[in-house]
Amino acid sequence: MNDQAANGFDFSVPAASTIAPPIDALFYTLVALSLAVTIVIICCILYFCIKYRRGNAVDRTDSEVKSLKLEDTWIAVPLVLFFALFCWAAVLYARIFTPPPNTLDIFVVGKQWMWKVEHAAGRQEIDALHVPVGVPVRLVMTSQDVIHSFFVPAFRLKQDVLPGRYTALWFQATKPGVYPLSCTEYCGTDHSRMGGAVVVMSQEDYQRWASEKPPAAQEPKP
Amino acid sequence: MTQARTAMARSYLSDGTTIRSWLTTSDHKRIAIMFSIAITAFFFIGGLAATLIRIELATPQGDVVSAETYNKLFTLHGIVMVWFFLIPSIPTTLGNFLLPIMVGARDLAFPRLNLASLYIYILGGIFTIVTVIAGGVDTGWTFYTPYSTMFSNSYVLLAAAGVFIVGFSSIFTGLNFIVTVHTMRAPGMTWFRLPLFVWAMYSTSIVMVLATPVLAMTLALIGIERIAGIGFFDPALGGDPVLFQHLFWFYSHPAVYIMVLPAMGVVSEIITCFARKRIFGYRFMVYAIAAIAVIGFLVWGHHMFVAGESMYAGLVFSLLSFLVAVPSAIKVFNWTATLYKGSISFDAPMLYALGFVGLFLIGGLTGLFLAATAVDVHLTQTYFVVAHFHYIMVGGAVMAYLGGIHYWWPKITGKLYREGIAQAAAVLMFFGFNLTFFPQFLLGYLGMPRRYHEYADRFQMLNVLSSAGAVVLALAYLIPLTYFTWSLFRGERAPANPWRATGLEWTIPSPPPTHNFTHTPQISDEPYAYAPDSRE
Amino acid sequence: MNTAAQHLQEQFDTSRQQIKAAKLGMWTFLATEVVLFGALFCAYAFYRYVFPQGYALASKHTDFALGTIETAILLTSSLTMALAIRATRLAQRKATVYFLAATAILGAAFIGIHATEYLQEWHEHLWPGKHFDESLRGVNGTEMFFTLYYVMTCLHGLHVTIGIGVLVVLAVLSFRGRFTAGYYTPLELGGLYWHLVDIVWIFLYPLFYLVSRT
Ligand code: HEA
Ligand code: HEA
Ligand code: CUA
Ligand SMILES: [Cu+2]
Repeated sequence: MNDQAANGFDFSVPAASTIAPPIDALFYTLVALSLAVTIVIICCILYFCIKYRRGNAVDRTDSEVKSLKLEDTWIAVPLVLFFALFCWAAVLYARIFTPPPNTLDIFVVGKQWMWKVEHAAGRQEIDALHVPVGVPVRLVMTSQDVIHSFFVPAFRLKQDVLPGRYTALWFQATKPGVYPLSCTEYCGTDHSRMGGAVVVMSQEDYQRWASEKPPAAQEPKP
Repeated sequence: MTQARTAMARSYLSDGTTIRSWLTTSDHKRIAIMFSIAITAFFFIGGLAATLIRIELATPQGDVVSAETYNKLFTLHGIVMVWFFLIPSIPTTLGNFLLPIMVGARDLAFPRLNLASLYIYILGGIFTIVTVIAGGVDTGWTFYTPYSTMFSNSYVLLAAAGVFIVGFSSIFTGLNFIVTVHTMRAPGMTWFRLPLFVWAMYSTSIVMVLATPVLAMTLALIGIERIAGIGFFDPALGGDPVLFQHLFWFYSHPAVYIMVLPAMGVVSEIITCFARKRIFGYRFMVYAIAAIAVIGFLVWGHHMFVAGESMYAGLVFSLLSFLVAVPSAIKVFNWTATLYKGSISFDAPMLYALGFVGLFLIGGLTGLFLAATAVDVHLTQTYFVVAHFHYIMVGGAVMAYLGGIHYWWPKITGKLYREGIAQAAAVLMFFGFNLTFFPQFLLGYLGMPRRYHEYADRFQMLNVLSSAGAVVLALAYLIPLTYFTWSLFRGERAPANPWRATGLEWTIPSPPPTHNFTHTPQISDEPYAYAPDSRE
Repeated sequence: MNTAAQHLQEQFDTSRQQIKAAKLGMWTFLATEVVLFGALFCAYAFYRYVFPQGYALASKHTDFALGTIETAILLTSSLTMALAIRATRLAQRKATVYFLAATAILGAAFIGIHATEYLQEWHEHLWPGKHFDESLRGVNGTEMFFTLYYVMTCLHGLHVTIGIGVLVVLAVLSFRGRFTAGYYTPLELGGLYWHLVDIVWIFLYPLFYLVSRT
């Protein structure tokens, strides 16, 4: 993709679906909260360790604190915070589970070690998925052998693909581009090679692409 | 009877020196020693696999080992580290050695069962080693179906048999501890006078006893499906692979608390001793341990948020996962508060204990990321998860285990080790650890999947950092091995109570006599009767 | 004279403590057994929920009469086990041995009958796998029902077999006068185990023989 990508210094991942920014928001809230908690606790520990180090002459009378109030506070505060986090995540999780009506359905089959994709218009591709931007797309997926998992980091989404049943994953891409796709459920020898690319195109390009005859078995591989 | 009397005075180490006297002993202390040797061996086997994993991952290409070998390496690493190292680590060594002494008993309730537990462990270990020699197993430590039953061409049955067998070792040890704590407490040792280490061992044992049979059954079903081709989990045979995941995690989530509760017990002993303070909120600590053990049974589905369980199941498991984090929070806060107005010294055990608190905190907080359903959808099966559990299991539990070994080393061996180098190793370990595993959080967020033999170029920088950290970490683990060996042969003799600690184990000689106590102790106070010198 | 005190092991202070430990140990062990079977009961419930028709159809093919006889036999054996312990308490050595032997024989009868049942089912093509009855195979869940049936009843049968071994040992020890009215802990523990095996069957029976016969 961009130049940085090649040299191993790229510390960012694009956010290219409608669900990605809200998930990021929750993620960064968690980061901030964790940082705050860590800093407070580490500071307390360091402060006590320095002030009350053995040999330091400080007041240690009344060291036997027994405070129910303190205990109750630090049970109640995490409880409330955790409940809030749970709710926030739950709302997003529910969104991931409920596709809007009129999605564009695309069939995906996982097998050791490739992804086969079949579009509504009949066009097929391997290890690549072309989708239009700005349209809700629903992937209907199954596996021919073991469990695989369809993961697009740029969309912040993944879904396991199981043999013997269908699972679904919906998303709406927001930015045209090429995004890596990987298999994230261990599926045998070439698990790490089972990937490809998601190509997000403008709606017109997608229309054209979907109705084209594939150029003789030449599918894009990233 | 007279024989027993003379044995009382003699240390357990000099009471019979033949190999046979060790191999047929029923002394909980000798069994603990033998366990610790076996477990250390397995730690290094698991560590060797980790070393190879990190070497392979230093470059994006799969250039050091083949894909098959890589898959076998992380499977071996996971199986060995979980079942042959961390689950038995603290219970069978420190627990075995100390639990009877801490409750004021002469031995565990069933000494021969304890020895059986050791031999079962070794039998399970032999199966695992034979698996490796035969050619290895490549399913990952989670044995997911239908890969493990129908598709893998490796030695799944042998490996599963090893894990199946070692499970009985867990069950026997747990059963023994439960009965000992219930029936063998010395007069005056009421439930709320038990050291937190004993509470931790007791709760852990309950989890072991109630969770492990499910694992045994699940592995047996895998065996049947693989051998007979009769289906439980394979959809081609009418089964459901998600059922396997439910059964596996019903055991394996409680199992993560089997790994961390003992560590929490050890840390409570160490922090009180080196801060010279009573533990802050003793009863809350007890209730927290119990709550973790109980709620821990109800959260297994958080490993399956994208695996095909229903949305409602996901939400319930998420809520319960947040709930199980509350008692852990209580513990972290109470440890911190224990330091307040203490008289703190920084001997090696204390450095490990403080390291535990910090790293467990980070591991636990990132557990919350994973419990938050929508965020887990992005992070699951990536290196973020790998980092999460190494923070708790390596940064937390292994640190605590090493802290405990240092703390009780003088008691167990009767020898002292060199403090300076021990402190240096602890600090080195802390830095090596963070360098190894912190970059993996970033890798996970950026989207690098776990169990990958090859990876995209853009992840290389962070992987190199991680591999470099692993070298530091490996060195840091080798240092204690050397100075402990030195201490065994050249170390100064340890007094009965080198740390001026409270607790029954410090009232008897180092090393303890065969039957621990010459007369049954009487207990009349809460544990941790420390008082900081008000001005020192 | 044979008293509990003579059996005191050195890690215990009193016989009471030792007996308490032994019993608690047994109860804990029984708890692990319950969880072990519990895993299978969950699998049973899960697939019953998924395949209600398959279960209903398949359960018509188990042998209701034999299953009921087996249940009666096991229940009787629990009674004779209890009587054996009572006899020891009353210091009736001979009666103890007889009752233990009766329990073991009933257990063996249970195994025998179940073996004939397996054999019969083999001829009726009810064993899962290649030989499985074609018309049943057409209905989802029938094969799963029988898979669970065999795994659970075999595991239970294994427990009965082990129990018979324990009973024989206990009978021999009783015969040699190892137990008295003052000391019979092993007998009591053996009895607990036997009752558990019995109780597990009480759950298996309706699940496999009565599903669609109500
Ligand atoms: C000893 C081991 C151990 C422990 C103790 C834990 C503890 C926790 N774990 Fe972890 N976990 C593992 C080992 C462990 N885990 C392993 C091995 C895996 C991966 C298995 C595999 O797939 O191979 C895993 C995976 C895992 C997942 C699944 C990830 C995935 O695959 O998608 C989840 C999801 O919920 C999770 C959550 C948690 C939570 C919530 C806790 C909680 O118990 C943590 C509680 C602690 C704290 C939260 C810190 C202290 C709290 C405070 C100081 C409170 C203050 C904070 C605020 C107010 C914000 N863990
Ligand atoms: C208790 C548990 C435990 C412990 C202690 C460790 C310890 C370590 N683990 Fe691991 N790990 C797991 C439990 C544990 N791990 C589990 C459950 C998995 C998941 C497996 C799966 O996916 O199925 C995993 C997976 C895992 C992965 C992911 C693999 C993948 O997904 O592809 C990685 C990668 O970096 C890793 C690294 C390490 C490292 C560097 C250490 C270090 O801390 C180890 C350091 C120790 C040593 C290095 C040994 C000491 C020194 C020597 C051996 C020197 C002698 C050797 C030479 C001569 C070279 N572990
Ligand atoms: Cu397909 Cu991993
Ligand atoms: Cu878990």
